[in-house]
Amino acid sequence: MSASVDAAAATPVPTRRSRGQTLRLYGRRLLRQPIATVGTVIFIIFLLMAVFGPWIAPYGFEEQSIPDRLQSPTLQHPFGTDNFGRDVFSRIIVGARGIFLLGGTGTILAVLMGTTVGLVSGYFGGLLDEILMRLLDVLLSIPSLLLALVLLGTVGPSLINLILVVAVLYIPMIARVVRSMVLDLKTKEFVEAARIRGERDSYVLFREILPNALPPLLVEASMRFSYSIFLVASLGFLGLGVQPPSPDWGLQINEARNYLEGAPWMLAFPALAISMLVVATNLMSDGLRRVLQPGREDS
Amino acid sequence: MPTVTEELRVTPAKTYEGPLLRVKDLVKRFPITSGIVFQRTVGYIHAVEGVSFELDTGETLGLVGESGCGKSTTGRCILQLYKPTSGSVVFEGQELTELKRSELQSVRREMQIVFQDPYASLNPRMTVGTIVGEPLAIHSIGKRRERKGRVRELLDIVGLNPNFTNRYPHEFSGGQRQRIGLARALALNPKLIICDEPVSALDVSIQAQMLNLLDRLQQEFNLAYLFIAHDLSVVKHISNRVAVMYLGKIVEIAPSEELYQNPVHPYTFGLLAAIPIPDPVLEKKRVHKVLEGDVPSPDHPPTGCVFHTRCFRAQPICTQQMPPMEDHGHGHSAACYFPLDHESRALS
Repeated sequence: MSASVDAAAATPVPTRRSRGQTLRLYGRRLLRQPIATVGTVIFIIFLLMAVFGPWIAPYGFEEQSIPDRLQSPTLQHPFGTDNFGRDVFSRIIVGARGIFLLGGTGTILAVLMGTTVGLVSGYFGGLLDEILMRLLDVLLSIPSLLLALVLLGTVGPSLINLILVVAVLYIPMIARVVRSMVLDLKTKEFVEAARIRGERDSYVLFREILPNALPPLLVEASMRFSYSIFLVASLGFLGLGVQPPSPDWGLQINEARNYLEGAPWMLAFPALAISMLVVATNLMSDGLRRVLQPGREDS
Repeated sequence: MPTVTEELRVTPAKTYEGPLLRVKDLVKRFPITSGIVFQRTVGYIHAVEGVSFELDTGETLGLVGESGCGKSTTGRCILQLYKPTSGSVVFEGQELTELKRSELQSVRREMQIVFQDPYASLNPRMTVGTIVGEPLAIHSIGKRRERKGRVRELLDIVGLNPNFTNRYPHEFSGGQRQRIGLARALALNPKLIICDEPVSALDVSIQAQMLNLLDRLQQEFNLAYLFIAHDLSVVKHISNRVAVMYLGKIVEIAPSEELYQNPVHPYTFGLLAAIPIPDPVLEKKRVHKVLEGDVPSPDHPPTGCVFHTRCFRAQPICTQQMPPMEDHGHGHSAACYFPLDHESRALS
């Protein structure tokens, strides 16, 4: 990149790089990575399913038809039907919303709170940093599924509680990523320059430090989201997630256990949906890292 | 173009007689702590140990020394980025170390800094226009549109294309970045700029350009520079006076020419002898009097004269007591019991 700099400086009228052009540049970088592009496309398809699910689905997710129960995949029911004669395909499509709602909202909440903790902890340091970090260590030391079970067992599995549990589980990781970025950035000379001209701490944190911590934060957030899909599905499977008859991939897998021999499609397709979304999200976040932090591919 | 400047220029409210900056017995120690929750201080890094000097309006004082000798810390203590452990920093007759944060704000307009690292000193996520314009914004100088004009003007002053405002730092070379940093420092029309090794990260050819630019700006805006460097040859070009620092103390201070012609302190002599002569014949003939050994650790500075561990003229008394600053005439003073004179310089 350095070679182009001097050439650019010599041109009398420089080209401006607007926000739109920056996005287009990121787009081009993404398209150069076919695997990440595939991941992103699959992710977007799932996202569309989550938003428009009830309108796309060929059948209602609660539409029961006992005569058609446990049918193998046909043109009518591409993923077969379950033990109540409900269309598995439709239930998967509609179920995407629950996954995105729980995992997505939980992750966003975790990002907001984790970022706050990380910023404060890293920037001000001292005893506060020590206390916050040790608290997060406690959370980190308990296996996440176990912690989720304990928390949900205590407060009961409601939608809000599920979101909060996802958030609590992922705050430590987000906070650590942000904190380590802050520790690095706060000693940079541009931060000193801001202090010397008399900027407030809030300005330094949100204008000078946070924008520079954003790329790794976004990557971490997308990683956390893919973990949260798994977590939400696991909780659903264990009966602590979305309650029936609402469609939920984890719950569907649980219900399918009893019909494994006669109707394996009941289990196979929700499982496939979970793994596809997780893998797609991982590929996307990998690509995101390369797009946002070029030159650090190997890290 | 200069129409905008006049409105935005800050005119001093009072006339003040005396040096622009007076630093007296400045001390900065950084505690070394151990323990996690209950931290105790197990020692101190003696970064700056009793530094005193004065700086006049429009003057350049070079501050030279090996890395880790406290040059940059001195600069940051003057800017109140670090709170000095003790001592006083008087700027335009105002004692800065006692000012509250809000009271400091008006002083901050008057003193700025140019950093060493052209890569770490500019926020990579801000455009050049924002970087240079932020000092104006925080001190609420001018309206938004006026500030834009001022930013373009500043870029022009430092020799950059004024149309570069929408670009990001990574699109510029090291030398250009230093110019952006300089434009940012100039934004508030300061009286004092602390140049913290502003050219040591640049190529030699670019160094000269930058030094000439600093020189021109000094004359144009009557700036005072505290020019920090680890290289005596760079400082010679730009300084009126030069102070040599070693382990947190100023060991010799003199007008530039005088220091280079008649170094009195053995350390200064050693530093000068280490400057390569850009003439291979002369360079080969010269006998190098090399400074041996390393700088002692600043958490346990030597007793007596801090330089005695590496000094070729050290005597027993040097290990017992730090020599006081002694006047050698012509504004030349040095802290040494056995100062060099013409004969001893010729012998060594």
